[in-house]
Amino acid sequence: MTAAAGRLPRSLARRLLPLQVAVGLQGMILWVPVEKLFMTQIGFTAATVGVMAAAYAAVVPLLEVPSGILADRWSRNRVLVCATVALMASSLLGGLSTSVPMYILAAMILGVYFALNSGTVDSIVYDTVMEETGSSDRYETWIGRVRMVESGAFVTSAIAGGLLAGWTSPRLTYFVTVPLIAVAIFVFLRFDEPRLHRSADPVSVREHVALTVRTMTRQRDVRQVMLLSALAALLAQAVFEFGPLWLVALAAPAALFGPYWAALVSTLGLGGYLTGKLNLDRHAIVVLFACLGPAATIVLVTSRSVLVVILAQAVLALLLAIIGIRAGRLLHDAVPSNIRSGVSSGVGTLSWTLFLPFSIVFGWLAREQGVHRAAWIFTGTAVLVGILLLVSVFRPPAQQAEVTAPQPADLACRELVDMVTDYLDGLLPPEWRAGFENHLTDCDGCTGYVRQIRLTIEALKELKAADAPHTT
Amino acid sequence: MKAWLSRAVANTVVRGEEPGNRVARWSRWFPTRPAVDEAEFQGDDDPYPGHWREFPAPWLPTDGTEGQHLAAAMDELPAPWREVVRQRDVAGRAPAEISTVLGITAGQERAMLNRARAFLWARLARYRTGNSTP
Repeated sequence: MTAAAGRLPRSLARRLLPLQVAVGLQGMILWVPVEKLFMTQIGFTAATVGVMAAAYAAVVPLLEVPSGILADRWSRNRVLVCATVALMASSLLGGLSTSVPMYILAAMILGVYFALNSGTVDSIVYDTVMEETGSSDRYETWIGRVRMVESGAFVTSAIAGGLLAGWTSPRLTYFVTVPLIAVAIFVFLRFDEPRLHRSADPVSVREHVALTVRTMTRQRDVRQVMLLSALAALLAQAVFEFGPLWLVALAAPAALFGPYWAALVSTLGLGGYLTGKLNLDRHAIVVLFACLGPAATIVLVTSRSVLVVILAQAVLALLLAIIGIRAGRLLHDAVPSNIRSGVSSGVGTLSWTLFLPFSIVFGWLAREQGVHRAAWIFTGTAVLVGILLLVSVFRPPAQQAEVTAPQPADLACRELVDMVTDYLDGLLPPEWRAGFENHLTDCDGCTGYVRQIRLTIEALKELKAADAPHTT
Repeated sequence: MKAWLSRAVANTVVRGEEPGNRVARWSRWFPTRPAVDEAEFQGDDDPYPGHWREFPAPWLPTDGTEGQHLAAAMDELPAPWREVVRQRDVAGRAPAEISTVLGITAGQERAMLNRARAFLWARLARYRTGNSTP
């Protein structure tokens, strides 16, 4: 180790820059807006589109847990690189596809990308913030910035991909995507990965799953909120996955797919914005939302106008984004913090698992009856989402897992260890200092810990004289 | 435009890890992490949540190789933490001077110092509870 003493620590912003650039490039998937158009050109029918969606939906939950473990035990940066290689391979294979099975294979490789990519950037940002600032306080700000870059890339690539497909051919969008993703791989490799790993000895997966399942099955309100969250996510996914089929059925021009996709993608950000503005505890708004969802799906059943269909899909996507955020918050409040991420990945798995049969049924219905009539399955799901949403408001969760802030009079050992430096420096406010000292008189464990921290500091002082390899 | 986007995105953070759709995925939350490894403390299902699973074992007298162990542990620290602990505990500089030089806030400096000390404590505890002493 040759880090020079006295050097300024690289600022958080500078350190995270390559990650942001890479995430932005990774979002430049130009073929996404015209995918369904291209698929139709190589011989896909609505039924095989459903099979394709089911195929990758099966891959993701299977790989999600192993990929998380791999990221924790091996290197998250390398997992991200592997994910991006999968994305590149999938784009290349997709572009080369001339048949349905070959494209389905490409879609399954894309599933590998989702599984490896999911949550990995989040953990990296978390640990980098922790390393550069000593706490996770700024995590939300930074993950927000990363997501902003990503959303910007989605919107840009939607427009660019649509235009490119309009001028040339949908197939070309796949090939143009490949070098962009290749650059992302190189930029990821330039990123200085945090050394901290969230957990050196992660709680065993089985334990975590068991705890999550217990929480889900014991509490009815948690179960309902999880189902709401999963169904809202499923329906949103269905709009993004199958929505373009309406444009194909109505023979919309290729260039329209870009703005259409950009509108759909931007509803996600807009949903976040509106959630901040709207009071979702107001019954009138919730009733309106619960009715508007099914209404938008009925428009998809009946309308033959491209613009009306696009509008209905955008409204549906927007509602689902808002409902998804709302459900996420309810879930957040209903489960204790240590299993929140477990429960939310449980929701993820539930949603993928439900999406699988949904895709096959939708595909089959669309082939037999056309996409318009198949949209009744959207209506059914939207009605369910509406009912669960209403239930969540009119019967608020009975018991909330309260996240209590530590109190001076009732300090746990886990909280005390965070205050030791402030205590030794005499920086704790009087009531906290009293609480700290009270705890020490009753707790041999913490007394020992503080004594050993003092010994550690003593030993560090000694390091200066003796074998300190990098003192100033 | 930028303002609303950033607020929009900050809001989406609360959604947790959700599949969303194939292309746009949102962020996950993480529980806060104490300075000492979470596994040292009892969980919510244990009799005393948040308290030590086992009290830290008493330390044996050092056999004189403590410096080497500590220097090796220092190398394992993330660079910014190592820098703070080196300036403060090894070189004995004043906190205000360090935060100015390193361009961090006083709060960040203390947080990094506390986590770095806890990390070094854990490494030193391995050695001073009998692993490599007579």
